[in-house]
Amino acid sequence: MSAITVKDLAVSFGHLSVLRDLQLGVNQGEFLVLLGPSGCGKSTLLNAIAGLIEPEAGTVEIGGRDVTHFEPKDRGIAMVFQSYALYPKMTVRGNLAFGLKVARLPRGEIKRRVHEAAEFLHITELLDRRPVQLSGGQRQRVAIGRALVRNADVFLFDEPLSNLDAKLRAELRVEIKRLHRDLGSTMIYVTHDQIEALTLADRIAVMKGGIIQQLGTPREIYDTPANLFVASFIGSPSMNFLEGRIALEGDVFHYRNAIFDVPLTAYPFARPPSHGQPVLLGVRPENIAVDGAPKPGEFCAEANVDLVEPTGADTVVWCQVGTHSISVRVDAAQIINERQKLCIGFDPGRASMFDLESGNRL
Amino acid sequence: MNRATASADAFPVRVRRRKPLITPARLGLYAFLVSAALFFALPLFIMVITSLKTMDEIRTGTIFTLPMAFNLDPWIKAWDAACTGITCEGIKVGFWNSIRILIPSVALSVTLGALNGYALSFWKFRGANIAFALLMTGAFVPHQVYVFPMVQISAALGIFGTLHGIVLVHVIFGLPVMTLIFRNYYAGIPEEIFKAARVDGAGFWRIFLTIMLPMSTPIMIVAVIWQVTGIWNDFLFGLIFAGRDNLPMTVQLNNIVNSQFGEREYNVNMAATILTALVPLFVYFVSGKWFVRGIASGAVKG
Amino acid sequence: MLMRNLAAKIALTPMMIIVAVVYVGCILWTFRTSFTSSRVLPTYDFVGWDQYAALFRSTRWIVSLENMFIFGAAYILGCLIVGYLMAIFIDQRVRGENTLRTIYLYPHAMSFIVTGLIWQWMLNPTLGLQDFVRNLGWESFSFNWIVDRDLAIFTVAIAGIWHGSGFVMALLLAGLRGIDAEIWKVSKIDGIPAWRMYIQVILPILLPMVLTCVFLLSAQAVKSFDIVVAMTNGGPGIATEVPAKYVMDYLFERSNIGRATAAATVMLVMVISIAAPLLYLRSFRKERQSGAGK
Repeated sequence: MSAITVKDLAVSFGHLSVLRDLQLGVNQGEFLVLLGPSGCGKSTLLNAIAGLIEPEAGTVEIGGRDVTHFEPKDRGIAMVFQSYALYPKMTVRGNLAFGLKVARLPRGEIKRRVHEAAEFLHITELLDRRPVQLSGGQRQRVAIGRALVRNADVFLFDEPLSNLDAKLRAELRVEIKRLHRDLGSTMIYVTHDQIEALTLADRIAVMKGGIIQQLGTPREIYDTPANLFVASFIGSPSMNFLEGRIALEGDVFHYRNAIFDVPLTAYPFARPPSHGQPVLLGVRPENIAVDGAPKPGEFCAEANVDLVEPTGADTVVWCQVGTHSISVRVDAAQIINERQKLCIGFDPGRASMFDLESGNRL
Repeated sequence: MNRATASADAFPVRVRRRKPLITPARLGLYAFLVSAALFFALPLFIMVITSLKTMDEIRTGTIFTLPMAFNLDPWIKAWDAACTGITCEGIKVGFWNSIRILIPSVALSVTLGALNGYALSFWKFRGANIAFALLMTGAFVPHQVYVFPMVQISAALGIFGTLHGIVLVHVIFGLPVMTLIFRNYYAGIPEEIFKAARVDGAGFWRIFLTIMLPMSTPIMIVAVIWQVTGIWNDFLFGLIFAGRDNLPMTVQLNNIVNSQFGEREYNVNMAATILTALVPLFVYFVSGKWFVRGIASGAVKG
Repeated sequence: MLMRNLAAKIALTPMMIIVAVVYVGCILWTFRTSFTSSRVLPTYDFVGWDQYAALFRSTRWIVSLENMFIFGAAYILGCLIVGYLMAIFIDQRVRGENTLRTIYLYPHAMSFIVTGLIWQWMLNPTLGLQDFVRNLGWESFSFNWIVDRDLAIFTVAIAGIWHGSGFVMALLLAGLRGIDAEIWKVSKIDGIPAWRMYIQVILPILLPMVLTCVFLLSAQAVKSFDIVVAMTNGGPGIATEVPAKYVMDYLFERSNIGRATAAATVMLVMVISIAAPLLYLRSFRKERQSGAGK
């Protein structure tokens, strides 16, 4: 059963249409990440689910109820914001209790819930401080706590870690994951950070221009991107793209350009391509092998090493193959020098083929 | 010192150049600054000394001649017995009238401005911004354009020439700037705080009263300073709308000075002038950077 | 959905009413009345442009208009030049900065009535500055502008500059302090003299602020009423009459509502013709900036 169902959603600001005809289903207890560059409509979608933006058309269902015209407080949601959005003139305790007070919960109940949430997030000793007296990480814990006390079925996160430095971000990321495991609630999480998306998500919805480009597990998104945008947005360094054409030799499709001629027997085509179709071949830096001679049936292209970037755990090698610049991720133990010549090859089964014109995966 | 904290102050001090030596250029610089200071300060100084002289001293000496004795009689007369036309009750009448006009006008216009600014910043709906644009445009239209219809309207409402009338006029014509500075202030508050409060279930009034107002102290100070000085210094509206019994201090001052019969008592006039300027000057010297901040926020129109 | 904004709509109702009745209604009402023959009481006949024709035949109105432009030009230029200079000089790490700023700005806290009365006294031909200088021994010294028909309007401008320069200084000083300090390091390395920097580099950066000042000062110049009433009451003769005072006199003393509203409408048109290009310039700049940002 879907915990959240968004149907035919349309949102526009003035003349600017941000979302159009958007469909999304989120499963009970799922951690769904909305990922995309700024301006892609991911925050708008989240705000529409929260009831903070009025949709022009379409419906939002939460827990089987149509909540399209409900106030945010009546939707059974809790929300955490990028800027923490703590009420500056209230103590931490006041911040946590505010929503409960508005809902006129009994005093004892408020106290109990605030206490529990504070325990859970290790902020008990901060309860009487004001937001200005807290560090960024502490503030975001309080913001999460404020969501926690609401006992909501659905948690909405709007780029909650973007204002934090790298170390804190990693720490809180783990904490949010733990939170999800312990609570088992449905969570929707907006971010532009692919690492957050890949580490946290059960499923990722990659968005661009108000449209969900691909909805799938992190593995699917990473390994089999649905189109060029998804392929290039995820992964660092980005996937390598090589122009070429499909050639049919006998009953075997080949990918061919001036340098490569790769038989595509192992490639799982969704739809059979046509002979001579212009394509882009995408291959991730870590899926390129640089060592040794090609095995039978494989191929090898000569590459000149241009630049070597050691990142610690591994090394990124930038090399020139014909007119293409290609990045290759190799083990840090492997010694490669600039201006060295390499023979590079890859497994076509792990590559991606995109139609040059539409950018869609073949 | 980082720029964020520096710009929070009205006049951050920039640490820029090495400590300068005394050079001809520096001397010229100080010469300019001091002469400018004299240009601005001397009139006040002359007012004060004139107000402490007797009329004989004024006639025989020059405007820079210091008073021979510390003579407070002109002040007492200005406050208590100076004449406007045939009544000779001094400027104190105007002072108390101004106070009676000031308090409700400031309270109402600041409250309304805060409410408007809040509603416009966070509860956007169609028509609100058009109304705001019209309001801002209206603020630049010379008040003379409104005077005749406003007289008609307030007469129709039966409040022309009453305290209610003048307060209403001040609230109406204070509205653009008040709305503007509060709107700009609230525009600087992260919308997410407002959203968080919505998710927490708070409505229009609760968000305003428990979240936004407690955050508004700085802009409240600015707004109050702006309105206190503005309304105190008003002449036009007081002249037209306040009515004979409520004439504010500025109008009375002008009547005392410019419609005197017989010999002009310059010392009394100057004392009355200083008395009239006292409230805004007090606000200015006490508030310091807040006054400047008010000027800045009022100037960022449109 | 209606309910969601209901409270906000209720809260904004007073503003909406005021905008509709006062800021739109009153302007239209004045405009309409200017085409009537109203005298003591408003009538609603239609006499076409008669009031405007009479207005522009009246010497006093023409003088008022001239005075407004002379006063406006002197006042705006004076405030800008004095204000900018004070801002620049104060920004040179001078001693006593706070005191100087306080002195420069205090006139702005006072009313135009007070300002006018102060300068009326300062410029009093028999007891004021002229008398003081003559007493110093310079017997032929003459500074009796305030009673000179040709120069009296400039004395009003002096009082205005005294009142308004501090305001310009405050705004421009804040602007100067907001300029990136590195620009000064660059200018030192490039060996550009400070005065050229202030004219060719800094002034363009401050241009939006200068425009704001011009805008506010010109609105003030058109409105000017109190300062004239207090200082000269339009005299000597009609030498310092201004449009704002013309409207008030015809409205209340001469009981000629038709003429007064026509004059007010002309004032309105003048403000629009000053404001429109400045606002256009501003929105144009904004557009260009946001266009470049994207």
